[in-house]
Amino acid sequence: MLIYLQMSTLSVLIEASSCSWGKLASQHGDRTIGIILRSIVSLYLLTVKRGVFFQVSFCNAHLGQSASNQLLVFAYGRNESKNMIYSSARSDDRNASFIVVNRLKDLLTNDSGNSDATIGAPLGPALAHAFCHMKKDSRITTADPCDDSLGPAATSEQSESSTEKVTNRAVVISMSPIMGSEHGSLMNLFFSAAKQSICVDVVSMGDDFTGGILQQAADITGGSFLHAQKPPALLKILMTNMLTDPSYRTAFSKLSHSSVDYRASCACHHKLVSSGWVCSVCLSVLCQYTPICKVCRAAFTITNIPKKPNRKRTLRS
Amino acid sequence: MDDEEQKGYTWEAGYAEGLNINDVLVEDEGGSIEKSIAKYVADSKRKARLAKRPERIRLGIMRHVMIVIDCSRFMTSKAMPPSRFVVVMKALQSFLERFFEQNPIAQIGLITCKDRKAERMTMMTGNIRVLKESLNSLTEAFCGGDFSLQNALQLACANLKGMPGHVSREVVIVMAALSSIDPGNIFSTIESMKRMNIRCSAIGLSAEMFICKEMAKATKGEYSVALDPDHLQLLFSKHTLPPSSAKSSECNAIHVGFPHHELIKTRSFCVCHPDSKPVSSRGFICTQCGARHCSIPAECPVCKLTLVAAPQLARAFRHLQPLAAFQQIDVARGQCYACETRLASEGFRCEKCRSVFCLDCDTLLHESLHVCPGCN
Repeated sequence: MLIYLQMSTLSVLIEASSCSWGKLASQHGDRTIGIILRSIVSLYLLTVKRGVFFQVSFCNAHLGQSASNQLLVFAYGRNESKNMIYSSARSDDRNASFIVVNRLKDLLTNDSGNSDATIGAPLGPALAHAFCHMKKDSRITTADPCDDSLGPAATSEQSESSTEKVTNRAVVISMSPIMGSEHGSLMNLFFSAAKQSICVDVVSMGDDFTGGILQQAADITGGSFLHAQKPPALLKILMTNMLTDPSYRTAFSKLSHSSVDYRASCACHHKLVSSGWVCSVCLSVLCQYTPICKVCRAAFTITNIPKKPNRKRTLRS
Repeated sequence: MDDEEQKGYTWEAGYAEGLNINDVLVEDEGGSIEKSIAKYVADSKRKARLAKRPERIRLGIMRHVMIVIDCSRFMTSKAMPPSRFVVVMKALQSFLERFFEQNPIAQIGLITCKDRKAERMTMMTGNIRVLKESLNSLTEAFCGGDFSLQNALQLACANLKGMPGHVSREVVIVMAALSSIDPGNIFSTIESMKRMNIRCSAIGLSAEMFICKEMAKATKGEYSVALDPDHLQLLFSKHTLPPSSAKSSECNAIHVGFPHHELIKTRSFCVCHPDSKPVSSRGFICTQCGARHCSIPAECPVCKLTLVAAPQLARAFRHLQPLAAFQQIDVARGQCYACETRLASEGFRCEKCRSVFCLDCDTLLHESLHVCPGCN
């Protein structure tokens, strides 16, 4: 395969919920926020003796890889009207680090002023925004040849004939588990991403190391899911596992996430079940057979159970 | 004399009124109607997008579709360049992809009809790979003889009969022939299809036929004739959306398994590739009998358990709660909310969050993403 021009668009989605950031800071110490910010974008640290000290960071490393690389930074918060906080395509956004840090700071301060103390934020709108923006650049799609993922398989004709290769990727940095109400729409987004061959990588920073839906997302789109136990591990994970295009990752030994959980939670007890009953009308999962669906009240027709013999006559006599 | 010719016969008026051929297909200077067809296709695409999808109605999400491919000698005609056969195969390939993207737990079977005989080419399956392989095995040289609508319908009916009552049963016929040679009364076959709740749709490639129209009307299907390859794609895409099902239709609880996607270390064969080794070291183990599968959704051939992943079920929800259509507005200047391209003349506004999108983003949002980026 000949590649003449390689361009890669990276979307970084950061959770901007002040409660989640605060929770992390209280667990791992005051420097947490600085460490996280520095792993995403580099900050110029002015020290008197050494002059300007430049620190390596994820976003800057991506931009530095190639002149045609694009970077989009999204922050998903609760009451946020504008998801996209930085785009390298905009002419007035010059200094990536400065803008991202300032806007994130603004968002978090605004959010902390809210009386609402729920942890977590909706990821769906920001992700849809990112996919919309990325499809603009991707006239030719080249899927990663991940033949065992759930998503649609890549057609071989497209990847062989492409002389201009555009890869789109998204990295989600999440700090709290995804809300249950978002599952349906998010899954839809991830399957569309797999179809557009956008690879979604996920770093989870909270207590949740199984990831749930985000782990499934990474598996569907051919990305990887990793859990950062401590904030300093974030930079290491981003740089070693998520900086390269998914097409190059096959050259390295794959991280062994032994098994991806595809179990559904049942509608009646919200427990994860490995086999259950699905209502044919509303597709809700029930953990045991009931004659009436608990969600949509549809009455199931029972075909297999033989009818009871008429006992009325015997009772009377 | 001239006047009379312009008016035409009275019986012609009855046909011309409904068709509006002169309005839709306007000839350009060269006498070609290609541009008009392209315009018509674009218009109907837009109409389909703006149409509000019904909410909270019962949809036949578990679809079992038999596709009947006309393989008569009419298929080899060059009326649609390079030939009808090539165009249909191309449209079918893309239809299969889109169909399974939209209906992850549906199944499709293929029937070919040539020499007045219908033959089942593929069993009902949810595996897109099997379907594509058998489609690729068809060649133009295979086509010949005449088409028989009744034989095709009867075979489809025999295949769909055994399906449980809660599934939505459909037949889609791709038909190039203008005649059908049937062994018996076709109307009684249509009547029996109607009784069995099988939805029969047809896509014509040459001209409208009375019997197809009648069949579609009786069984609540759709019938339309493709004007050119683009229009054919559009007609196929109409069949990717699940049809609404009757209130009275049966519903049932289906036993399904949710297997893990895991690394399998023990050496084993899979049930899906009997002649070769499994495609990768990872796979799915049936939760009931322990058979190894390379991909899901699938029905375990050993224990007949339906195997799906929870996300695939979750995806089907979006048919029940679709994203509302955006309002088309005129914009002089401004940017698309999502992709920041400059908007020229037309924009699409979400009625909830008042964000304006460009045409490309609007199509993407409604066709695949189903989440508005502006609404929080």
